[in-house]
Amino acid sequence: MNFKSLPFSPRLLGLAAGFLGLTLLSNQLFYRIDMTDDKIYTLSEGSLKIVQKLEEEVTAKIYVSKSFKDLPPAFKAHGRRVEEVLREYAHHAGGRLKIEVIDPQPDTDDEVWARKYGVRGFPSPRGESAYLGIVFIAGDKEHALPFLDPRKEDLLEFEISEGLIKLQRGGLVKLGIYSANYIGTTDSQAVDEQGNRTERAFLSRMKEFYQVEVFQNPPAEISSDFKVFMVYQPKDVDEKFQYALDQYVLRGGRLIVVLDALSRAEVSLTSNMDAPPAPLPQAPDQLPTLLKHWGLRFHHDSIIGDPLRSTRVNMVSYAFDYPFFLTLGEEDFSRDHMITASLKQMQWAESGWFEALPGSSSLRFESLVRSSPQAGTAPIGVDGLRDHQNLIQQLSEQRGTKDLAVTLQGRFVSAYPGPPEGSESQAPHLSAGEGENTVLLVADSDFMQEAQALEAFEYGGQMAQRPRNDNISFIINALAFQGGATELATIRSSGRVQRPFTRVRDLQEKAKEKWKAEEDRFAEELRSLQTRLSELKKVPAEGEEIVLTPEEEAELRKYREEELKVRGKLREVRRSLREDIEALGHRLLALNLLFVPGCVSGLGFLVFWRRGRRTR
Amino acid sequence: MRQLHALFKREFFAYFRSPVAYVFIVIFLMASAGCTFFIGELYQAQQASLATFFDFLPWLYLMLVPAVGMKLWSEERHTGTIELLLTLPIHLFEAVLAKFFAGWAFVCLGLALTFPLPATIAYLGDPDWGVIATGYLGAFLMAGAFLSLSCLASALTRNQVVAFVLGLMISFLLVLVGWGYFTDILATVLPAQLVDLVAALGVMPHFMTVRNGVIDTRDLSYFFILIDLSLTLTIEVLQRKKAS
Repeated sequence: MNFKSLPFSPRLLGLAAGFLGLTLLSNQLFYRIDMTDDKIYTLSEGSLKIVQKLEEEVTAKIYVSKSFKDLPPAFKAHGRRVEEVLREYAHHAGGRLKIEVIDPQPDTDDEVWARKYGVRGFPSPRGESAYLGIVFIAGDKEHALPFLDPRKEDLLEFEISEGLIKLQRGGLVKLGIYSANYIGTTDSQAVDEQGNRTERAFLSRMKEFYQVEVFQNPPAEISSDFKVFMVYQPKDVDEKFQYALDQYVLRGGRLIVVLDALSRAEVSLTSNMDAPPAPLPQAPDQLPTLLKHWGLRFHHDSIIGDPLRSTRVNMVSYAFDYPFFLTLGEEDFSRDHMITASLKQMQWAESGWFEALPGSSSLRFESLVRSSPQAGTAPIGVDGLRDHQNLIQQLSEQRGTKDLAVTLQGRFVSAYPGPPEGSESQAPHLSAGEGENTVLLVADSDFMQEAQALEAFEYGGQMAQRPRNDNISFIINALAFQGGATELATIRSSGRVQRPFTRVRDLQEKAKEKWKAEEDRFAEELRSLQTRLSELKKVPAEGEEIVLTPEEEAELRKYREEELKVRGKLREVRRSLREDIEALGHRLLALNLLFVPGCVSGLGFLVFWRRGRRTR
Repeated sequence: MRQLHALFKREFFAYFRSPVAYVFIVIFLMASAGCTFFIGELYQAQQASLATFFDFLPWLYLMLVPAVGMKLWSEERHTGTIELLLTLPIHLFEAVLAKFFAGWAFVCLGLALTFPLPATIAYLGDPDWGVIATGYLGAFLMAGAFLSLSCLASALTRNQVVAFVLGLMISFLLVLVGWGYFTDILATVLPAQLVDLVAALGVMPHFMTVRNGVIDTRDLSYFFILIDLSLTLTIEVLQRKKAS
């Protein structure tokens, strides 16, 4: 055969085969490096374990409205990230996780199926429903993540891993919460139709992962259906409820106890900032029988002040460093326990503290969260936010590390010989647990509140909230740990995809400060002008006419002119806020569009001009 | 190899003896900055990220890189200087490599001159430098891939315009097969495994992975294999032309 007459040579065929072979080989033997700062494409150890232990083939259908042009860039970026992270899961799943990406268009079967699966649409600027959710399907089991909120991007890996666990479990874990103060109800939604929050943010977050039942009164008996039970800010707890908790733990229930020496949230609700400061009431001794039996003392009569962990507090007209609001860092968390190993920062407020009573219990005491060695205590009485210097002066001279969150682990023994008088418990009395159990105790309740855990930010023209630290992650990790999904507790809060223009934000803040000062000044001027104007424009009695003297008329005219000027100045101040930011944008645009192209053009002209001169 | 180096230098500096090089760089810089700021709305998005810049780059390269590659061989063949070149004490593959590297270096110079963009976002916020570095790596590799295809197109014809169109079409085809919208359409007529195989041949999935901050040897292999194949085919074509 004459190969030269062929349009191709055997060598070319060999090359093509080689190309294909190399491509196939490189797909089998490969290595990846995650170059991102926060390693956002590297799954945590917990997620890897979850996906590697998948027992059956799982299909993950991602419903994401990619083709909607008017959705915010942050939404689209999050949609891409969801897909990328899921592909990372699939990569480690050994073929047991398949990904399907569906862009449900309005009024199509895809949209119908999305809704059937439970993926929630949200209104796009055009008014149509846009989607960003996942459905996990394995055989006849399904579990949907209805909406992956871009504002919670740090929890994306946790949500996906939790979703895979729930798919395999076949349902949500039941969590019961008792709180003496209102935090929401079992059925309440996060916000009502007017946009007012109806429940605490942490409760909303828990409801995303658990089937939550809220108790407004201490239950007589705690059902074993609750995988985890949380006691949050208990008050006036009697022996019957302590007995119910005691028996719940002995039956293998997982307990989380959140106490507080001083609930700032409660003080904010009940205090009157206009009235003279009154001494704050001391918190009662909470769960005394149980804690003493467990070999633990909760110091409820004083709060921790840690000068090395102070938080800057901004009041209306001044700011100060407040050592009773603790900003805790990695060095304060146990790196050995899965609840705290991945945490970076938390903020606690006017916390109590725990002390192990040695020799009084066989339970193993482990500290998860501690203060610095320079922590002291101050008695409860003075409201530190209204008179911080006074409270700081009362900080004890004796300093040392204080335990703020602890676990007690071991075989629990009942604190009661039998049901106390009046107990409505139906279950037979247990004197000891069958196996080992763990109780988690936390010495502050405010860390779970919005003021400590969340920060407001503007999103799509509206104000929204996002975690400002790992406070919520701590409690979610704690629930995951107590709920038996220990892998989840190793999943760290992942890095953020959002990297805002901090310089523009600083400009906005500076301009707002300036604007605020100017606005307050002009507003004050306006108020005094308007007061004077209303004095001049006397309200006539019925049937009477106003008669102003010429001097009064002239003064009225003068004040009206002043009022117009001041309003104009206010408008200018507000416009200048935007102008500074726009001017910066224009300068940067000019730099990028014109500077280097201008230099290159100039260089080109120079080169050819000199060449032209030389040839002449 | 000394000849390769000498030919590379000759070819690289030859670009700057013509106004076309300066025009190319200015157009590339203005187009990339314009797309990033006006269409991508970099400043309005308020994100210290060059994602929009890298999103537009494949389409800019699609138009501009064939313009660099179109004259690599077609001009030599048209003017007859290719015979002169091939009489020099240099192997054909060295000549191909030298011209290719010179063109690649020229395109990468244009890429390097986009430095005001990363400087801008560094000034405005705290970007992820790992992602920016891999984004530029992906752009560098994609430029090489498109240029190698344009090199092949240029070897196939004496006419620069035909070489440009051919290079553009081949590159566009490789962009299309990896493009999400196209694979969605393919998925309606082909089985999923075949769609995945076709998509894996495309430039975009490999570029996007690198652009996002992950260096995967599969993506690096894809680009190097594609460049290697294109240049080898170029040598094959030129040898056949020489023999005939």
